[in-house]
Amino acid sequence: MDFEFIVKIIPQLIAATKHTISLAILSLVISLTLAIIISSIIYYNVKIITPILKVYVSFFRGTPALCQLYLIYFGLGNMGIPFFAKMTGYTAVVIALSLNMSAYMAENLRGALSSVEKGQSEAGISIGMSSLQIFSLVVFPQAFRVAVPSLSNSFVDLVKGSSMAFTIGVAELMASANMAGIATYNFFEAFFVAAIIYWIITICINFLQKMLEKRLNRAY
Amino acid sequence: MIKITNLHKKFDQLEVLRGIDLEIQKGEVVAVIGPSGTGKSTLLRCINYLEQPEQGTIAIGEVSVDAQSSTPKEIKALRHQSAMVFQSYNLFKNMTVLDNVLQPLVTVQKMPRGKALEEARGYLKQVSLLDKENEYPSRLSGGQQQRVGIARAMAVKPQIILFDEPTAALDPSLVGEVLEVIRDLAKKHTTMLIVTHEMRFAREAADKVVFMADGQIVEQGPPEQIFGNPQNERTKNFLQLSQR
Repeated sequence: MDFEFIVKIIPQLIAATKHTISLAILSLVISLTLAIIISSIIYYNVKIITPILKVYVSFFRGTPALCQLYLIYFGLGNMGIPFFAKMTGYTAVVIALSLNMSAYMAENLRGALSSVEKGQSEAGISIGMSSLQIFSLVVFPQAFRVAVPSLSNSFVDLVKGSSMAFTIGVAELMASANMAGIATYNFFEAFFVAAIIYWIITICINFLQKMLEKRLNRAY
Repeated sequence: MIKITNLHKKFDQLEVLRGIDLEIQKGEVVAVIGPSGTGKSTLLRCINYLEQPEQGTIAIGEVSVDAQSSTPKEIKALRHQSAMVFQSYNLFKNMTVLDNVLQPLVTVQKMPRGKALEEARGYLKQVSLLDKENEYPSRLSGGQQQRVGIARAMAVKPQIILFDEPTAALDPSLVGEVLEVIRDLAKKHTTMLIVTHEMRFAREAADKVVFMADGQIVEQGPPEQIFGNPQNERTKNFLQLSQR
C-alpha cells in the first residue's frame, strides 16, 4: 500500500464526493416526491392512472438502472428532442436515478399506506374531514413512519447508484478514483479510498435514520 | 328530529337493511338491540353515510338526503349532523388526545386555535381525561381511548351521536367507565343512537329500545315494554337467550 499516495488523493476524492452527494440528494428529493404522488394514486386506486403507474413501477423495478441511464442519456439524447439532446451527463443521471428509485419508493410507501388501519380514515370521514386532510394529517404521517427504514435504504442505494454516472463521464467519486488510479497504476489504493468514503456516507445516513425514527416513534 | 324512511342497503347479493323506518326525537336516547349480523351497525353507518344506502331517505334536522338522488354536497351536509363512536375507537394514532379532539374544531370547523383549545378541553373534562391531554392513544387503556372517541364525537357538535357497539372491544372491567360517560350524556339529553349488547344498560339508559332482526325493525318501544312485555315472538326469544 502506498500511503503517501492515499494521503495525496484524499482531498481530490473528497472534492469529487460533492458531486456524489449532490446527485444523491437531488435524486432523493425528486424520487421521493414522485413516489408520494404515485403511491397515493395507487392507494386511492384512481381510475385509468393507476394501471399506467403500475406499469411504470414494474418497468423501472424490472430493468437495470444502468440500462435506464443509457436509454435516457444515449437513447433519448439521440432522438432529436432539444431538451434531451442538450442534456448533460449529470442531468441524465439525476433523471435516471429519480425515475428508478421512485418506483422502489412508491412500492414501499404503498405498503406503508395500507398498514394504516382503514378505521382511522373512516373516523376522519365521519368527523367531516376531506380526503386530502385525512391523507395529509392522518394516513401519510403514519405511513411515513413505517416507511422510514426502507426509504433510508433507498437513499443509501442512491448514493451508491450515483457511481454509475462515472460510465458517462460525470466527475463524481468513482470517476475521480479511476482517474487517480490510471495516473499512477495505484488502482487498489484509489478504489479503496473511494470505498471508504462511500461507507462513511452510508454510516452517516444510517445514523440520521436512527435519529429520525426515534423522533417519529414518540407516539408509539 | 331524525327521520329515516324505507332504508335499504345491500352488500352484493346480501340484503342487510330491508326497509328501515325510524324516528328519533330531539334529546331522545335510542338503543338498538338484536342478534349479530342483522344490520344494526350498517344502519348506523348509513346514517353517517360511511355506507351508501341504495334506497330510502335520511333526514336529520334541516338536512334530508334521498339515497337515489344524493349529491356529494348533501352527503357532506348530512355527515355534519351526526358523529360516530366506533367499536374499535379509531383514534388518530399519530396525534395526542388533545389533537384528536381538536380535529373536528380546527380542521373541519376552522375555529381559531385558542377558542378550539378551550372547547376541546371542555369535552375532555366531561369524559374525565383532562389529565391525559398530551398522551398518545397507544398509552391509554381501551376505556380511556373510547372516552376520547366520545369527546371527539362531541366536538363535531352533531345533532346526534351514533354509538357502534362502544363497549364491545373492551375488557369487562373497563365497560363501566364508558357506559358512565354515555349515561352522563343521556342525563344532559344528548340525542343518541346506540347499538349495544349491554341489555341492562339499554334498559336503564334508553328512552326507546329498537329490536332489529334480519335487516328489519321487529319491535320498538319504551324499555319497560320491550324488556318487560315484548309482543313479538322473535323479541321474546332473543331476550330470553340474552338474559341467560
